[in-house]
Amino acid sequence: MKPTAQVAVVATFTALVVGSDLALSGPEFSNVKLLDTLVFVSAYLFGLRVGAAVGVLSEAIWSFASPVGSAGVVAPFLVAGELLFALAGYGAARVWRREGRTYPNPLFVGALLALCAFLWDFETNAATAMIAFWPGVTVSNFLATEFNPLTLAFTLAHEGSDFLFGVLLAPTFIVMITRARRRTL
Amino acid sequence: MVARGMFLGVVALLAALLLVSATLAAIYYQDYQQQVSQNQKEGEELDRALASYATVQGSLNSSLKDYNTTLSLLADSVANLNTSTPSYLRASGALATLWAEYRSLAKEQGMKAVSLAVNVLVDFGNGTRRWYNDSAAQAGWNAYVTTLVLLDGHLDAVWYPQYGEHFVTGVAGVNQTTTTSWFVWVKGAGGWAVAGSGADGVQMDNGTSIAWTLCDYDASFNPQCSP
Repeated sequence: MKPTAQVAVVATFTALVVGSDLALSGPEFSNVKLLDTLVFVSAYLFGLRVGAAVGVLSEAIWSFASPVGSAGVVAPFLVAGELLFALAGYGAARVWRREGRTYPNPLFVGALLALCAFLWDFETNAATAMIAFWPGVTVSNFLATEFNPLTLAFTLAHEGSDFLFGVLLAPTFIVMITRARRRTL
Repeated sequence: MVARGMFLGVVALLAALLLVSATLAAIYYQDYQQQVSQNQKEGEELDRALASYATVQGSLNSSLKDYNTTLSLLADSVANLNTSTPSYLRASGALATLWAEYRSLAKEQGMKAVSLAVNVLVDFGNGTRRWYNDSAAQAGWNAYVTTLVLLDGHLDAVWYPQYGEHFVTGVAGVNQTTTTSWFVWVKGAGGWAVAGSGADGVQMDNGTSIAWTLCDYDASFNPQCSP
């Protein structure tokens, strides 16, 4: 893939991510985002570099342009966490292609995205605990920040929505974009 | 001769009286003119003072509006700051005082502070319940900011920027334990219900009632009590 085409793909996916983040920024969609799915799809179809670029760019933009407010010092951790989805997309593509299949199993993608969502929440909540209690971080306040009624609600919403998007949307996007690419090439 | 002399005497007396009254009239007339002139000057000064007063009043009203806007911006900032930063600690403590001063100033000026009437219950889980009925909240405040102001900043919380939410760990100096946690509730038509997305997601409206309860919880973090 030519560098110019890569830039175009990254820009298109980033625009889609930021636009969908804005559309889902209301309180009724707490922690429900298409971001993870789109980063996974971009890495699955166009490789780790493109997927990572989409994840880093879109999460960095959203961290400072969100109508909820700036993420502040936790932003690098949010951005780093998004690389998990790029790695998962890239890894899934390699495994699937090695097995000679073009399209992934939707349930596998859903489970993979849910697992990544759990790791993303765990990593960002750990960063939240570090920032909130530094330098007096203790095991008890670390665990209380990681696991509490608030994080449970948001984590469940995140993992549940990522699982559903992974089952329904990610395979659909992969099939549609693959077919569109074949037609244009 | 006596009659003529008396006549002349009366005439002289009348002439003298005429002279005296004319002199007094002239003096009083001069005083009157001076007084009129003084009144005009004072009237003009009063007009100038009234114009200045109107300008000052306009500036004060404008300042009060700016004060209201500043308070709103400060509340927004407080709601988006890491709760351990010095800026948050200072601002959250000052917000209640500034809000009270604004409302007092607005009242003195005969202006109605643009505020909502809300009800907040704090249930400490040991039988102590504290109601803050008909409390004033600024339009746009959420349950977190409203409680922070009502409790003079005595609210301990961890800010999760990734969720846009605070997890409240202590209310009015009473902190959660390993087996209890603070839950926020909203009163609806069907009674009290736990706010699923946390206090920041609860937008206050006129007449909104919220409650904070320190409750035990089960393995799924469901509260084991209600307000």
